[in-house]
Formats: sequence, structure tokens, C-alpha cells
Amino acid sequence: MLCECQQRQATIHEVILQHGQKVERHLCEQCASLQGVSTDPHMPISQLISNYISGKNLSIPVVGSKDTPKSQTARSGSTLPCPVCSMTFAKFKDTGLLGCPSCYTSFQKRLSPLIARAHDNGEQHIGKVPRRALASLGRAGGEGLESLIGGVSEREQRLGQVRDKLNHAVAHEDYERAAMLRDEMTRLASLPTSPTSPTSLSASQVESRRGAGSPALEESS
Amino acid sequence: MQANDQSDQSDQSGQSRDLPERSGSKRPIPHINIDRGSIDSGGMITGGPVQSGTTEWLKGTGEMCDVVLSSRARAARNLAGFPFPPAASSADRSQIMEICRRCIESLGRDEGTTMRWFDLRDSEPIDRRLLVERQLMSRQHARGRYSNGQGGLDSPRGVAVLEPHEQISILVNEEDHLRVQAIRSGLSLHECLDEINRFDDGIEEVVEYAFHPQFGYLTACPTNVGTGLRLSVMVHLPALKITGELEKVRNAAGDMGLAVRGLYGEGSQAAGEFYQISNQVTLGRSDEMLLREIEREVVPSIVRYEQHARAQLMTENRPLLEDHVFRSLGILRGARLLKPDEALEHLGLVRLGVVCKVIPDVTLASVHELLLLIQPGHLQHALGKELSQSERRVARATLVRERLNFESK
Repeated sequence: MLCECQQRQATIHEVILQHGQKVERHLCEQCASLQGVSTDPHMPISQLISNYISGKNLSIPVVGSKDTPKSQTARSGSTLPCPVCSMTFAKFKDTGLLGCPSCYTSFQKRLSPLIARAHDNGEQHIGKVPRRALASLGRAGGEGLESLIGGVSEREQRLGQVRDKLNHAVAHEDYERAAMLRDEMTRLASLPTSPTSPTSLSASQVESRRGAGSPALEESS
Repeated sequence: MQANDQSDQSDQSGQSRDLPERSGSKRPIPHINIDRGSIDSGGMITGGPVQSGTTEWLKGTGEMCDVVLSSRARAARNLAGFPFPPAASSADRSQIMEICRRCIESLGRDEGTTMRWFDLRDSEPIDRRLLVERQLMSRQHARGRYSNGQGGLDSPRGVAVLEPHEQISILVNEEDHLRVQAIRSGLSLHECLDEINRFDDGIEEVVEYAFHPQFGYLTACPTNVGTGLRLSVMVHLPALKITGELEKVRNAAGDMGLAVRGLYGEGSQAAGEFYQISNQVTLGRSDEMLLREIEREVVPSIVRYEQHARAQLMTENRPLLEDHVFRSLGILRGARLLKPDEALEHLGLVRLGVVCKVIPDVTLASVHELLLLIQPGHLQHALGKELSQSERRVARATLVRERLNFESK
């Protein structure tokens, strides 16, 4: 096969993904080096992977971008190391381990699609929230909070599912299970929909998660 | 529990290969509420013997205990403002360990229980081994070596164990700063989760967790973010193996995003048809959703499938079942040398025989106890000395023979 220059044999074969389209290029060494395509055959595989991941020749569909807080997008797309622990994205790709909690914001844009892939397209945390974070998020506004504890639509969906199961249990005279499901419905319904004040929210949230068996810890605090 | 019979090489090699690390910038230790610690807890006992008798998860009681051996939940948590352990300097790890240790010390506990702290830097290899075999900590934690090559035997790390039942253990400086684990006999994930939440809430009163509004609880490895929660159930599926339907279960569980591993966790093979089923996804699904899916839907249907296979064998092909079971019992009662996998395989079938009431003179408790005691660390502990591989095989066979023959008298 001849190179694009039609003069020499093509020895470098490059496959690029551009906007989901596969583009093949066949170049001779001279043309390749002129166009900045690496001809180093000893490039370690980890380097290849990190080039790939860091976005050269590749447009990664950013799944979680709509959830990305604007304040962080500026630096999250860069190849700079994490400013807190100096972890680099390439090193993360090597080991699969991040350096510190700030890495998640430093690399948020590039991490989001990888994380979504690892979690069956899960992009947004739902469930338990540390009380301190709950309080500070509450102060910042209830918007993010709603999605954390499941959101209105998710809750409605879950309520519907439980209601169906409850009907089924009653129809089969499984009253023990029915009682359990009824309790669950009460609990789901009691989650606040639109928080009026952060304190009332955190209190009810905590209560609903802790249940009755709160240890002595509460009393002394 | 260790599936292999090889001695833990890294324990013998001794030397840590800690690379030169960044000098940890000194941070002030966050305010710790010492008062509360001295009021409602008797503190923590440091060091001392690891328990060596049978343990909570082998009691053989609880819901669906004919198929479900144990339930386990663990939460991965990290302190805000500190590097994750694999990337931290040794000095940072020391500081993190001190904060976590004092925090655990301050936790309230039920009456009659003791929190015991093992500093793994200056622990005996036999103690580390016992802790791993009792499923109170991971093998990685025993070695102290992180998957990025950092750390080593003298890396600052520890584990707190709630005695005497060993239902709770808290790992400090494993891959994450804190990993809180609860374990129960039978299908009891909700109790494990409640227990974890209790300790989690208690810890959070003292320290601030690393948390992100989108990613949830932040962990060193992004595969654990979100709830940071892993729920796993250990099931015993020998009848499905005999009827050749095991693959269906494995595939179905895989389709539902659940991992199926051998008895001893990641990378281990499933001798004796003991399997751990656990969630992989931790982001985008709440703890309650996960709990409901595994405890109320997936596991009960697997249990019913296994029970059905057992019932079918009992009614339609009893000679086949009895043949499997009694051959295994015969080997265990007669063998003079036993490899770990071999012992497990036959104990698995004997367990089937006991649960199906085909073997009348062996109790479930003694089969379970053997699952624990045949492991290298426990064998060496019982004999009070280091044993070579061939010595362990003799010791294992002797122990099993004595236990199983004794009961028939």
C-alpha cells in the first residue's frame, strides 16, 4: 500500500475515531513524522493508553457533562496534574487509583464517562449522604439535594413498585411482608420533597436512615 | 480464608519496598472530641490474641441458612483533606491511622463487647493470617502492599475488631482510609447494613468524610464511589452443581450486574461450591435499592433454585445424591493427607448431606467449624508452631478425621 504522498510504501497505519467515525490513514515514515504521528515502535502500552484517554485523536462522549458544575469545567479538561496531590491522569490510568479526594474534581470531565461505564451508566450518587455534606448542600440550595435522595420522579417510581408488591402480598395473604412494605411506603413518602430549611431536612433524613436503634452516641453529642 | 496452601511469601520476605515518598506536609490533626470517648466507651484494647474458635459467620443460623452461609456488608470511607492511602506518604498514613484509631476508640459499643485494635506494623504473621482466615480483613491488608506497588509490611495500618462475636471489623489504611465491615450468619444483609450505618454515623461525628455531590462518597478506586457499599452473600450451591444448572445461576447473576466469586473472594476458585455474590455497581443506586435487589430478589430466587435442585435429587435421584455425599464423607474419615481444596470440596458435599439429613451423625456446626479450622493459619495456631506444607496436610487430615469420626460414636 502506498502512502498518501503516493511516493513511498506506507508503513504507518493509523486509525482515528473522529466523532464516532473510523478514519484510517496509511503513511510512510517521512509523512508521518511531518504530520506528528508517532513512529516510535517502543512506545509502552501504558503511554498509548494514556494518549488515547487524554483525548488525543479521540472525542470521548462526555456522559455526565450536564451534571458538571460550571466552576470546575475550566480546569477539568486540561492535562494538568491534580493541584492538591499532583496525581496525573496518566498515572491514574496506569494504576486505577486516584491520589486524593480533589482528584475527582480535577479530572471530573474525563472521569465521568469512565465512572459511568463502570457503574452501569450510573452518573449521580443516590442514597446516604454524610450529615455535614447534607447541611452544607442544604445551605447552597435544595436543587442538588433532591437528586441525591432520589428525586421526586424516582421516589414516585419506587412508591409505585412498592405499592404493586404490597397489593400482591395482600392478595396472597402474606401479611408479614405486607406490613414490611407498608412501613417502607411510609418511609419513602416521608422523605421531604422540597426542603424548606436544611436543618429540618437533615434531621428527618438522618432519622429515616438510622431507624430506631440509634446508639448512645446521640445522647452525648 | 485462604484457598491456597502456599505460605504467604510476602510475610516472610520481611522487607518493605517503600519507594522514596513525598515528604508529607504536616497538617493539624482535626479536632477530636475526646470527652465523649471517655464517657460512653471503655476505650479499646490494643493488641492481644486473635480469637481462634468458631466465629459469627459460621454459626449456621439465620434466614435461609440451609443455602446461605453468611451475609457481609462493607462501606468504604475516606477523610476529607488527606491523600488516599496508596498515594499517601508513610508519614501521612501514620497521621491518618492515628486519627482513625482515636475515632474508633471513641465509638460507643454494646455492653459486653470489646473493641480490639491490631496495629499491623508490629503484628505477628500468625495473627495477620488468623485475621484474614476469619474474614476480618483482606489479604491485601495483611501484606500492606497497595495495588500501585506502594506500602509494605511496615506500612502504617491497622484493624479494629469488635469481640467476642467479630461481627464488626474496621480496616484502617487499606485501599481507603476506613473500611467498615459487618458480617452475619445466614441471609441478614439489612442487619449488616444497619450495623455499618451505626458505626459510620458514629465515625462521622468525629471526622469529616470526603464527599462529592455527583460522585457520592469518594474512594481511591472509582469503582467504589457512590455509596461505597459492597453487599455480599455467601451461598452454597452443591445440588445445582450436581444437576449441572450452576452455569445458569452464574450467568443470570452476571446479567444483573452482580459478581460471583469463590469462597475466599477476588481471584479465588470455588472449591466446595461455595460462592460469594456481590454488587459491582455502587453509583446511581441507593443503599436501600441495592439491599432490596440482593436480599429480597436475587438471593431468594437463587436459594429457591438450589432448594428445588436438592428436593429433586432427594425424590428422583437419591442414590446419586447419597453416592456423592458418602464418598466424600468416606474420604474425609479416612484420609491421612488432605490438600485445602480437596478438604473443601468434600466438606461441601458433606454439608449437603447434613442439610438434606442424609448424614445423621454429623452436625452443621462441626462442618462449619472445620471450614475455618482447616486453613493454614488456624492449623498452625492449634499446634502452636510453624508447619510445612506437607505437615499441614497431615494436620488437616488428622483434624478432619478426628472431628468427623468422633461424632459418629
